[in-house]
Amino acid sequence: MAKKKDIKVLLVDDEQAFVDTLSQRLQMRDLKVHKVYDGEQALSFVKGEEPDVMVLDLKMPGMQGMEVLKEIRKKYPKMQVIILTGHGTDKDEQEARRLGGFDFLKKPADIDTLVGRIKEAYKEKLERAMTAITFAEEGEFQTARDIMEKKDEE
Amino acid sequence: MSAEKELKSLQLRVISKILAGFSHEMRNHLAIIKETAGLTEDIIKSGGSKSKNDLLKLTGAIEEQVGKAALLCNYLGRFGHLLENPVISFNVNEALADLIALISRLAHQKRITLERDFDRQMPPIYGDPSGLLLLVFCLVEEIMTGLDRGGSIIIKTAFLNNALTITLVPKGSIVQPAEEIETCSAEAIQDLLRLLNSTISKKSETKEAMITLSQSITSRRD
Repeated sequence: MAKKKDIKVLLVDDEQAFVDTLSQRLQMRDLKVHKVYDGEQALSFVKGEEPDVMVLDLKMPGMQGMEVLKEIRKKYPKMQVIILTGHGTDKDEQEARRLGGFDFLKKPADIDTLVGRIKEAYKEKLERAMTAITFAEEGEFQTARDIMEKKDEE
Repeated sequence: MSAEKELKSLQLRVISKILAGFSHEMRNHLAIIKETAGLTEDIIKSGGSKSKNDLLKLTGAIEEQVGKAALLCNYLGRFGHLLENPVISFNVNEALADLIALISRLAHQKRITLERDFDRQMPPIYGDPSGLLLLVFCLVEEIMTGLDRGGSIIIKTAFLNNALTITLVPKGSIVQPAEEIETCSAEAIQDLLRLLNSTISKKSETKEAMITLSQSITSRRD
């Protein structure tokens, strides 16, 4: 069974004090946490090490969260993305979910809720991988690929 | 739409943008306060080896963040009061400082900084602060859409020969606007200029804009 330490989380937010504090709290809850402070840094980070779950702000200087989400879905379909933002309009939430975001939380969020959603996101990622393996074993490679790339939900 | 309705509609759009920015900023402050308080609680509950000084640092950070949030509330409060009356005696520098504080997040997201260079001898002005602030907001937004990341806009005020001038000086690379200007149409800006009985001169190359108000706004040293 996976331990929480196995879950790799990347925090992406331009509010440095927020990211630094939240990362400490998540680490105290046995998650493996990395942090970056804008969208460009996030895309650069995932090239080297792919996290399981990205916790992403929407409004940041430079590259916006929605653009990061689009890039992640395109290039790293296995990665789960949870939006955590202070700029939470219903339209933003609909758009984030349409683009394949796992969840949409508004700041300030409850730490237990956030940890719960990270674990759920990780669990869904594993379940998807296992389902894809089952299809692949039966020779249905396209279906397996579609599941991994979340195409079944689009 | 009549000019009056157009201006009311513009006023609402600008206020909506400012309130949305305020709410975003405030949520960020609250999130930092919540996480810092939460971290303090986590440390105490875990009975870890953090010293008293470490905990005091955290409570100090909470105090600091509350201070920042309260300051932002002050800016919004003063801005709101200025819009209550159509014509009043007001301090242009203070009104602009409040506006700059409230829209600096918008600029920050475009990696643009807003700077001030205010005339310290500026007398109190008798006029319409709402129209003036709308006009400055529209022009700052217009300049921001055509200014590259890393740039800045200097907002200068001066009072000479009984005329108030506000000059917006962009610093940095001018680029083709990446997006349509969302808030203010050229017609709305013209309506505002008529309302304020003011003029504007723009330099097409540098995008510098200078508003001059000499008739509708007068200084009052009362």
